[in-house]
Amino acid sequence: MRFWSRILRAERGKKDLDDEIEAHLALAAADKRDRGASAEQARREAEREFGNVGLVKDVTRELSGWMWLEHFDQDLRFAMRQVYRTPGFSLAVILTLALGIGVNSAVFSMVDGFLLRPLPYSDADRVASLILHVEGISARTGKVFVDDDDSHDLETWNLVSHDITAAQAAAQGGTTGVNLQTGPEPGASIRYVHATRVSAGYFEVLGIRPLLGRGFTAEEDRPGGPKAVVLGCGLWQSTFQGDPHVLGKSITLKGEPYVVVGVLPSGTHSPGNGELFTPLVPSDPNGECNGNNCSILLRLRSGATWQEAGAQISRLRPSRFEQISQSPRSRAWLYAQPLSRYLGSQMRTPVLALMLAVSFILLIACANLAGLTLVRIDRRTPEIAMRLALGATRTAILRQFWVEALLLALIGAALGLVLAFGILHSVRGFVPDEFLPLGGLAIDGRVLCFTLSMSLLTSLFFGALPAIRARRVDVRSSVAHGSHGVAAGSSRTRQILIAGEVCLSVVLLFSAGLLIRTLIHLETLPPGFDAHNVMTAKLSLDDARYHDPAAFRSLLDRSLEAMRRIPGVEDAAVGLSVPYERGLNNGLHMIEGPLSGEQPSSSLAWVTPGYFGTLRIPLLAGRALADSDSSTSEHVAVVNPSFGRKFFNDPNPIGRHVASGKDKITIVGVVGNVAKRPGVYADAPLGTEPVFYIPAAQADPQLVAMGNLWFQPSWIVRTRGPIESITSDMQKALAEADPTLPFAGFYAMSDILAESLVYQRIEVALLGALAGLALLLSAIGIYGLVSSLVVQRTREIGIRIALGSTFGDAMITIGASGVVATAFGLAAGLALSLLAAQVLRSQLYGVRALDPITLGAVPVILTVIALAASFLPTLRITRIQPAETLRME
Amino acid sequence: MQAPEHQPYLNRIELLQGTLDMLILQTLQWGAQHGYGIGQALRTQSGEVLQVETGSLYPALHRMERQGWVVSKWGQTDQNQRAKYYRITAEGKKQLARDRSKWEAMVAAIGNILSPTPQG
Repeated sequence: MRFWSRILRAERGKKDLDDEIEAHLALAAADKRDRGASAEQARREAEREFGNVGLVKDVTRELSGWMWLEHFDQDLRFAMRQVYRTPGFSLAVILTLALGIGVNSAVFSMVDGFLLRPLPYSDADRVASLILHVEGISARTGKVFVDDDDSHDLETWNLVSHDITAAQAAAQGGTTGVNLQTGPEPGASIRYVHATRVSAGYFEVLGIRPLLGRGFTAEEDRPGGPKAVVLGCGLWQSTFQGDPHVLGKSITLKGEPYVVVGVLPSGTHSPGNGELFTPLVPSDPNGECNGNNCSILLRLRSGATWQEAGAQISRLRPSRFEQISQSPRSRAWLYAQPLSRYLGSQMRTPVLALMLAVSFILLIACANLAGLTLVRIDRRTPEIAMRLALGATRTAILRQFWVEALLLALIGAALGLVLAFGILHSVRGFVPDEFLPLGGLAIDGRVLCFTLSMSLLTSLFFGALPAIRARRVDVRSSVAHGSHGVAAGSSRTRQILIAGEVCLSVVLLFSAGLLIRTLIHLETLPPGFDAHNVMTAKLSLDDARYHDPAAFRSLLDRSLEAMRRIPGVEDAAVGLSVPYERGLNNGLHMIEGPLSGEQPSSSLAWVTPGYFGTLRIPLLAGRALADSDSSTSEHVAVVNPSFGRKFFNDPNPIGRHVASGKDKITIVGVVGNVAKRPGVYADAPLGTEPVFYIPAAQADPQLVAMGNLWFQPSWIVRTRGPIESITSDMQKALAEADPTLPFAGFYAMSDILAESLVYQRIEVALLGALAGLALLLSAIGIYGLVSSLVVQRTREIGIRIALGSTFGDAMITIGASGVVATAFGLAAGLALSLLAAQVLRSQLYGVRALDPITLGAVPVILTVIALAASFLPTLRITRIQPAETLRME
Repeated sequence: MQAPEHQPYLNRIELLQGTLDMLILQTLQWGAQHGYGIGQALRTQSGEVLQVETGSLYPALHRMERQGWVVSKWGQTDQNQRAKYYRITAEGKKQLARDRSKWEAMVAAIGNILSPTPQG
């Protein structure tokens, strides 16, 4: 408010000064009239004597310190007139800035969401994630490895919950789709919802106070404890109509009754992204935390410090540390990492890399703007010279240019924000939640500050250039030569700018090229099966009614039998995991072969006998699984060559034995490798993972239950015709076996492939879009340079042509400036790309960092663009009439 | 060739500053006066020698007002004209005394240089 009162006072002072000067003139005139002058004469005389009224006012007011505001006002008005007067230039600047600032703001909001914004929990700095650090030499690769993981087992949980007194601990398991019955009558309507399994105290540790009721008690979090459920706000409102009396009600979840004990407030974010929560029961020896499947969260108790908690944590020595420390140079320890840092650490590198990429875009945009402004300065040289000659100070002219730049930058930034909103909207559409920050993506105060400072910075940048040039304007020659006093040095500066933008574009294009080649490599890996005409459907079997092996087998048999009857269906099968998808990691006991006595992990899939035939996975040796492999017959398995090589040094380990749980299993057949997302040995997003296939009928019920807790089995049908129309028939067939079970979703194999490569697709989409944008901006820059050269040198070209030069010669001479600039930029960009390739190395699969195809394609694309952007504007040369240009004076 | 830097108008005031301030304050010793009146008084009292430009006078008045040496108030002239009158303050009187002694010292010093009195 003080600001405005000061402005008001300044306004009043201005009026006062006007009055004072008017009084002076009146007094002087009165004096003159007294001496006999006529009224008119007296007034004129008084004014003449007074001198320049405006100047006196200015000089007097300059003292009051408010002149700058008035200058700014004048400059702003002048700038607005300039913006209107040169709409083409203004539009080009505004759009370029909107693009540059828009993508930067959008990406900054990702940086903000992952790395800057505090987590949406109360006292988030008192919440930490327990991390297991293991380092040593990998037995598999022989290389030094360091691993920080938040997955813990039962023993660690027991140690933490007993021995850590400085912090309260809670555990979180996985999030899986489950069946929620929403109507009162059985089977009325079943919804497939995402449930996160959490321990007692979980919401307290995160600082979430339930809107209604409470979190889970220790009683509910015990093996065999009462079945309780906490609803997320969204589900409570959509499915339970926000019923305030929902507490204590029994709902049917996973086929059995659960009592609602709590409802979370709206806007609650949990790391698991669940719609509802069920007890995890981390202490259950047969439960989820038996393997390394639970994350452990800690909240510092009041009065305790992280030093105390850290000391307690470092004293925890789970028994497997013994085993780890037996390997050479291997060590393991536990530590607490602030939750925000842990959640951010996953996306830190990709997000910062993206920020670097978009800063390239902004630099390229600025280079274009600088180029545009240089041309305009040249055109405005006469105006600048005239204003200098008329007594304007250079400071005033620089200020004027800066205000113009600022005005354009602010308009561009506003438009950029709109663009950023759009980008974030589409990112939310195609990026799964797991790659988005916990609180979602939003344009908050920090992002707005960033956008504003970006626009100020860019305005300084491209407003400063004219400032430097205006310093060099030579008043005499510029005024004397009028509009022909064009500075020749500017095209050299612009060529350097264009070489710079081409250089950055090349780096982006090369990086995008490597990622595209990686994606192509992964998408065209030999699948090992026939993906055409296959439709799959998933459903949750984490259901009390199917824990009984007989009910489970009967569901599979009856539903498959019904599906095979669908017209057009060739075959049908069920399996826990399909190709392209990761399987269940299962520990095997090796009882013979080179690894005898060890317990390595392998991908395990229980399948119905028709699985290999339906997917057309070839049988390489032995026999496939058969209907005769029942729960009472000998336990058998089929493996792939990867499995044989890994565990028996033999791609054909038929007749060998392996133990899983209490069963001794004989390998009876070998089927071909399929492309699969690895669960155990994650070297690449897709690979030929060792797989151990067992008949569904022989699967250990506990293993089936565990598998169903984390994964949904797939019903697979192969049709003769198109697959799209088959989905409703599949649901009807399932209903014949169980009318209450809904399929959660239908996926063609291409959908599953896309899902497995979603991270690579996002990388390619984002970096590809940025590289395209960079190329577009560079092309605009080259085009702008050459076309302004054509305009500048029209006269010269006219003379040359009049003297016998051809249009072609003139076009090559002028167009060469763009091509030469591109060539320099290309060379520098390729050199820089070698650096980028090193950074990207960990993201490349099946493609070398110096991929010859990418290295070859980039110069070709750049050359085509440079030639087109340089040639198009020179077409105007052919319209030059030598006779006319000579008269242009 | 570079264009000559623009000369700010302010410089010409600074040239006269100390002296002009002193002369204005001296004029105001006799009572409150408006800007035109001050200009006229300086002209007549200097025997038409000193012609104070408005471009120097008004900035000087406004500056002195902000320094607290004069205060201004709108009033009526004898001819019933509205005008802004400046009046010297106690602070202004002190400033006048300081300016005056400086001026006298300077005149004496310059006088000594121009017509030295024999020392002896």
